[in-house]
Amino acid sequence: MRFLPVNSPDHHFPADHHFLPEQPIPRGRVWPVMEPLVNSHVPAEFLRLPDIPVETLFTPDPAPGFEPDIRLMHMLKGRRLLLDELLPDSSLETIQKHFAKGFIRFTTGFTKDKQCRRCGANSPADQALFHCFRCRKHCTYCRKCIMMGRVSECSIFVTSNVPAAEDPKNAAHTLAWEGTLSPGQKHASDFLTNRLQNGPPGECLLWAVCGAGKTEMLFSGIQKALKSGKRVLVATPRSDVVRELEPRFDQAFPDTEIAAFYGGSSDRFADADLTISTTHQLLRFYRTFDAVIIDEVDAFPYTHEPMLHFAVENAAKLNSHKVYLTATPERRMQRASISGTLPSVIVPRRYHGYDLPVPRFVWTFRWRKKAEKQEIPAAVTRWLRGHLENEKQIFLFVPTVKLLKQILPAAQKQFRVPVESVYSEDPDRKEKVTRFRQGKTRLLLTTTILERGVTVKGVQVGVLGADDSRFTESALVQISGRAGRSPDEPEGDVCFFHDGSTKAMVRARQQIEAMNREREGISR
Amino acid sequence: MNWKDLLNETDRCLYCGNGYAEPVSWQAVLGLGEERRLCPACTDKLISIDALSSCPGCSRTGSPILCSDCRAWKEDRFWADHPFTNLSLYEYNSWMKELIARFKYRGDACLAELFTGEIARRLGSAAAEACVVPIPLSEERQYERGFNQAELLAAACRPVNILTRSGQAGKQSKRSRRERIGTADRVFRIDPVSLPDNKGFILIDDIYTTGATIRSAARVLYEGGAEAVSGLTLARA
Ligand SMILES: [Zn+2]
Ligand SMILES: [Zn+2]
Ligand SMILES: [Zn+2]
Ligand SMILES: [Zn+2]
Repeated sequence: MRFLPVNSPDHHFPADHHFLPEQPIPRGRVWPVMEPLVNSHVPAEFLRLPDIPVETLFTPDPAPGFEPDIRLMHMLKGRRLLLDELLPDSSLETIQKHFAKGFIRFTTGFTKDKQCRRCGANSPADQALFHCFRCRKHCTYCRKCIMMGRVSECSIFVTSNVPAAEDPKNAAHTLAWEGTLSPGQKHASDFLTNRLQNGPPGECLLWAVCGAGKTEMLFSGIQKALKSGKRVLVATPRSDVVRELEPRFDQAFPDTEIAAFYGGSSDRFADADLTISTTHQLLRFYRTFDAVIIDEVDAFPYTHEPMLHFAVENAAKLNSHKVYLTATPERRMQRASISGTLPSVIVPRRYHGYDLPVPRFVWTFRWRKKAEKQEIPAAVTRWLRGHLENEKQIFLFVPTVKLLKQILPAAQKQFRVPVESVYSEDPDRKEKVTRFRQGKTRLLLTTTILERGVTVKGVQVGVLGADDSRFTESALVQISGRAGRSPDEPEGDVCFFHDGSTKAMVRARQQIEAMNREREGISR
Repeated sequence: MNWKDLLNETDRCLYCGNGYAEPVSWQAVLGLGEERRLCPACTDKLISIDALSSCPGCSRTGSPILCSDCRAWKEDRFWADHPFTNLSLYEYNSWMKELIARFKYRGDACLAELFTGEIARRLGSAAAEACVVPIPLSEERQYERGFNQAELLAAACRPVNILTRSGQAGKQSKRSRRERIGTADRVFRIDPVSLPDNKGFILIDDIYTTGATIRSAARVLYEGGAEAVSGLTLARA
């Protein structure tokens, strides 16, 4: 995208007067007009937005009396969007006019130090160069967030330049949920309510074991926040969780406006009271939420995935509440919680009140060699046979897809029950998981992908090769958390088959045992 | 990730981003294997079309004889006298579909680098003698996308832009095959008005679906005086 920088209205410039600001352009400032709107015969030098020094760029004050396009301003409410994202519903003329009237602002795609403004990536490995037809130069673009459309050096981000109009809204925000909270849930719910209502803005942690029932703990706090006029966001890494949460929140808050954002729903407007979004879609919001609740925050370890934290900072208002929700906080967060620097509440009990199953370690000499020879180690076979004969269903986790494929034929041959395997890119993943849920499949071999979210009653859990480096502490805690979820069958067998135990295995077991020692909620 | 993974990891897949260990080979030592930037898992999904078991006219997979589509084209009086064959390199499986979508529609231009070397190799000496012409986009479409994917794919074959495309045709995928065959004809123009001295031309595009687009460009070249025109596309839908 190129601009014609205009220094004064009498610059020989044939475009429509709508494209010029009402206020005179101050001396030394430039006013940019987007290239396609300018007659290309104008003998002038076109520039890219980042090539115009920021301090010379002129953005007028909002013109009083101007009637803005409702649709455009609605799209921009609380969001920062690429010009390309606005164009299907608006036009360059409309956008230039709103810029001239001071209703919108332009920003570059990258910061001066070459950081993508949308996702925060700044490493050369996340960027590439192409010869750009829009700016006719070699143009850097961000590959990290490419799936949301390209942000390049000549891209333009558009934000609103007027304060969001406070539309009269139903302030009741009735909470229609009538279930009962477990003592641990109640403790966490009170903690959160108190923080969102009276606490200073800032971060806090809600550490709840797998099966504690975390959604219900949020209801009261969210209601109080909404009632005090706060805009609340619940963000989660997976789009199926957004789809699952939306109806639950709809039921709990029948007269609250709720919007859900996940892949493919990006065109929806962002001015609901309560927003549920995937962490990816979060990248489009801009300084709009008073409280952000991030589910499964450990899915994005800060050191490996700074993107989430960048996105949260952008989406939240400058002084806002950030609530981290997880069953398995990364060690940095665990330490901050223990030392008290991160205010936190721990829910150590499942909703049904029983202990978490503690993993057993079973030494399985040279399991990797055996698996490569397409054999299932004897210890694993014995364990599987025992549970299958008792009519139990089993998840057997393995570290890689390759290994999965190596042992599947042996498993299908040895056991006279339906056996299937599933991995993240498996095209039949949904159907296979459904068959397992229905009990049609008795043994499901799987890679780590099923560690979160999938809950099957009375399932036993084995990890073949728990010492593999892919099984981190948090992955192992999550995997163990698949067992004993139902109050009818709260006991579950969790077995780590290994060839020399690892720190991750030991820490996972310690974490589970520590939780079992606690009876009720703890807050720090 | 622990130190073991770090030691093993020598490269990162340009497409999926996963790290992988590349076995040290003579090619790598001699610096010949440079454009191989797909990880083994992705390489497995990139399926080359075998020339011996696909249509000699359009690379449609399944049978080594001229397919019904190509026979239908030959019934057209123009194509009876003007030979046109297309070579497609890879199957348009779900993996390739996603890759091309990310390349074209999301705009991940650098994915072209995965294929430029192979395209040049497959054209071989033919590329040196003929004029390699990327199928152009309309001005509007190219502005929207920021680049022409066919031009990027042809980057290692010294492509020459001698065709232009008008914008009225609308979105190809939204219309039926009959409509496409009917309207494609007046879409391309030669610019500059006369052809360069070369007699042979090779058209490059990303996907061959019905062949209507690439043949419509080929026809314009033939009518402008070309002696031989053929096509090469990345994938065969
Ligand atoms: Zn980015
Ligand atoms: Zn550019
Ligand atoms: Zn890959
Ligand atoms: Zn054919």
